[in-house]
This record gives sequence, structure tokens and C-alpha cells, in this order.
Amino acid sequence: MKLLRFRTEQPYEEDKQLAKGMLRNEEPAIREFMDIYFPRLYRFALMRMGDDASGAEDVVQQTLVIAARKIGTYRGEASLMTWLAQICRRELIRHVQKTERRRKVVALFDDEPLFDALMETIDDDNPLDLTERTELITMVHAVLDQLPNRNGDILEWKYIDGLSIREISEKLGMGTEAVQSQLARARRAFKQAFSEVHQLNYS
Amino acid sequence: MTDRNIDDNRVEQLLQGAGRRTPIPEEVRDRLETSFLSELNKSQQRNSRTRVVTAGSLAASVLVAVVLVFNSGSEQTRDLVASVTKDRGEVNWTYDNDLGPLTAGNTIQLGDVITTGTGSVSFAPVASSLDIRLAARSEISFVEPTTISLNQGTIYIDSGYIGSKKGGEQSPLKILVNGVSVEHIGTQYMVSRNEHQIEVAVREGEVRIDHEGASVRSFGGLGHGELTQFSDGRLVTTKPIATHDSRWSWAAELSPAIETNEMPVLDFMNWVSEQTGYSIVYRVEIDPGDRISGSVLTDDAMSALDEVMTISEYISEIDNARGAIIVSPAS
Repeated sequence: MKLLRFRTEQPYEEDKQLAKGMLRNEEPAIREFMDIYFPRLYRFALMRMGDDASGAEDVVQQTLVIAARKIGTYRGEASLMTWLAQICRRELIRHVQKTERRRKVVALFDDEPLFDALMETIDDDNPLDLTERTELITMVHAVLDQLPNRNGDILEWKYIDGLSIREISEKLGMGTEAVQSQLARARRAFKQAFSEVHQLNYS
Repeated sequence: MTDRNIDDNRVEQLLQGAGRRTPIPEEVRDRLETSFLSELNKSQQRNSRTRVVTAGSLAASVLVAVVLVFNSGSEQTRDLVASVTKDRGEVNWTYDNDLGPLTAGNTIQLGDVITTGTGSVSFAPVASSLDIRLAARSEISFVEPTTISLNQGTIYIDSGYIGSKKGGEQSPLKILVNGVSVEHIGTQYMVSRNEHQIEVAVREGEVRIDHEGASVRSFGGLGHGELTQFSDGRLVTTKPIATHDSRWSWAAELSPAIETNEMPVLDFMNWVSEQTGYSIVYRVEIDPGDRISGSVLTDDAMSALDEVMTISEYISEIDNARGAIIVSPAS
């Protein structure tokens, strides 16, 4: 029997539990949702609106209103970020139609030749020019925002802000060993996100 | 395609090179938090009200059932008539004179009025396994568990899709439109109402159309591929309508969710055909054993087809002149 293969289905159990906690009006779940997804959605919208901060806020506000109404319909078939991004995309289109202005739409990951060119020129002895660097930065940030749970934050705290494992553990209220293990998972998730998007064969 | 490994050093290098992500300004976060919490609170109240009212209605129904036990055993579910399976865009319901947004998962009580703005919505009635879809700018109310009054706009009824039984085994559903009633006989059909006329289009099967108790058509039914128009209860015209006519396309966008994992490719293509009205023309032999592995994430038939095609060895193109989706080898 021949199989047509989709990407392997991923369980989004933690996202489902978070959504259920919100439905039950549990404050930690609501707080966690706001901490994780408000900044991501804001950047998601901002990036696609040519840095129109006011427009991005309107779009995110409307997205969150819809998310609040529909959180009970989230079934964990995709990540919560994917689910929110779908709502946000529709709101972006509506916003553009309403304001009758053409916005810069950043087609992240859609332009494979550009990505390939960037990956080819990423070596230290072949420095990127300004445009390429900007595109690469945008991609790295977008991948961080797509990672599940707080993986993107953990990577940012560790490698960009230079926080120690202990400092991260205090932020998250977790033990240092748990943070180390989470950091390893976050690195793996980051690599996997690139490989999944571009179907690269990372070892 | 680049085939380059990213090791831990490269991850670190990429992250340090990229720097911090844009933070959300505090004042923006505060404003978003206020509106989000307010909406979440309203939503939770709405859900809890729905549950309370449903429980109250069922309690009342028990009393009714006691009184009517010799007449009807089905009265116990009188008040709960349908649940919303999918919503797209702006849809409202009027409930106890209170207007609110209607979303998937909500239940519909007898007498509720459902109004679509720019959005559309689909329901699963309690009394049958029909799939009911309401187009944008339409309004209906359930006057009986199996009778819907179409006040304006367009409604689409599908008596079943792959894996479900069709036709005679379904409970009948009646659509009332300004004195005209339309009943299905195992079919996919659409009823529209505007200021001047009523239109009934049949995609598959047959419907019976009555006006004030009398059959409008001498043979009592309207067959598949036919569209008939009435004005003041009188037949104006009957003409053909293709199963893939653009007037059906809004309904295809509300196709019921299906689980594609392990689904035979040929079954999936048949489902696409049923939902879109296009026939499938194969220019490649598909083995009946070929199955799809994984679930589609999109929620309408055409997008689902696109998704499946991207991971298959086939391509599909639409031939509108033939009313067909042509499936060919990808190479």
C-alpha cells in the first residue's frame, strides 16, 4: 500500500490544556496565554503591516477578541500560535480592505530562493549585505515566535540576553535542571522549525 | 534546496546575530489585556448562560413529556434543535431578545433567530444528521425541530457525505419560505429568498415543493441540476444549474471537517467532488489502496484538495468548461 505523507501530526497537548484552563477561568492559564501570545501576535501583525504600530495594535486587539470568543473551539489540531495566526491573517486582510491601503506584506518562508541564498551566504567569510541581514533577522525572529510554549523566550534569554540558567529558572519558577533540559529542547525545536519549513535534512 | 546542517554553534550564532525580538510596548499590552479579559469574561458568561438555559429547558421538557407521554416520545428534545459546527466571519443570533455572536460549539434553541452578516455558518440539527449551511446576509429561525423558516437570504441542505447514509433514512426537514415549503428527498439543495422571489436549486436528488398545501409542480418534485423560481407562490421559470455553478461555491467553503488520515485517496476525491460539484477526471491511474497519511488543516474542500495535492505525486486543475477537476501525474 502506497502512502501519501503529510508532515507528521504533532500533539499539541500543552496548548490544549492551556486553552482548557482559560475556559475554566484559571488565572495562571490566562496569564500564561497573555505572556506568551500577546508579544508574538503583536510582532506577527507588525511585521506584516510595514511597522504600522497603531494598525498592528488594532489588528491584534480584534484577533484577541475573536480568540476569546472562540477559544472553546480550539481542538489542538495545530499549535495555538498557528490557530491564532490564522485569525490574525484574516483580520489583517480585513484591516487592509477597510483602510483601503496596500500594506507591505512580508511573505515569510514563502520565498525559498531568497532563503537558500541567505543560507549560502551565512558563513563568516561571506558576510551578508544589509538587506540580506535584515531578511535573515526577520526569519530568525519569526521562527522564535513559532516555537511552542516558551522555547523562543528561553533561547532569547540565554543566547541574546546572556542570562544564566539560574536566572532563567527564577523567571520561570522552575528548577535549574528542568531549565537545562528545556533549553536543549528549545534548541532542537529551533533547528527543527528551520528544517520543517524548508524541508532541510538536518541531522 | 540547501542541505546544510545547523549545529548548536550555528543556532547561537544566528540568535546573537539576530538580536532581541521587538518587545510589545507596555501601554499596548495593557490596552490589549483590558479588552481581551473583558471579552473572555463575556464569553465565559455567555457559555455558562447557554448551559444554564439548556438545563432549564430540558427540565421543562420533562414536564411536557409527562403530559404528552401518550402522544409523543420525542418531545423531550423539543427545545434544543441544532448545534453550530462551523462559522466563518460575522454571524449573530437573537436569544431571549439578546443579540450576540454565534460561533462553533454554540447550541440553538427552538425560536432562536440566526442572522449572518458578512459571514456564513453551518449547523447539525439534533433531529437528523443533515448538514445545514446558511450563506452571508441571511436569516433563519427554527419554528419546529424539523422546520426552518427562511426569512431572507440563502440556505443549503446536504443530506449526507461519504461515510453517512443518504436519503430516505434521514428525518425530513422542511424549509418554509413565504408560504412555500420545500422538502428534500435525499439530496443537496439550496433555497434562496429575496424581496421579489424565491429560488430553489437542486444539486443532487430531488425536492418536493408545496405552496399552501398544494404541490407547485405537477410531478411534485424538482430534480437534480434544476433551478426553479417562484413569485407570489407561482412558478416563474425552471432552468438548468450546473453542479459546479458559482452559486454553490459559498456552501463548499463550509464543507464539514473530515479526517483524512488513512482515508483512501479515491474516497477523498469523491468527497471533494460532492462538496464542490465538480466531477473528477483522472489522467493517472490511482490505486484503490493509495491512502492519505496525516490530517488536512484547512477547512474547505478546495483548500483541502490543494493541501493533499502538494504532498502527492499528482496535480489537479479545474476545467470549468467541463465542470471537472482534472487529476494528472505531477511530472
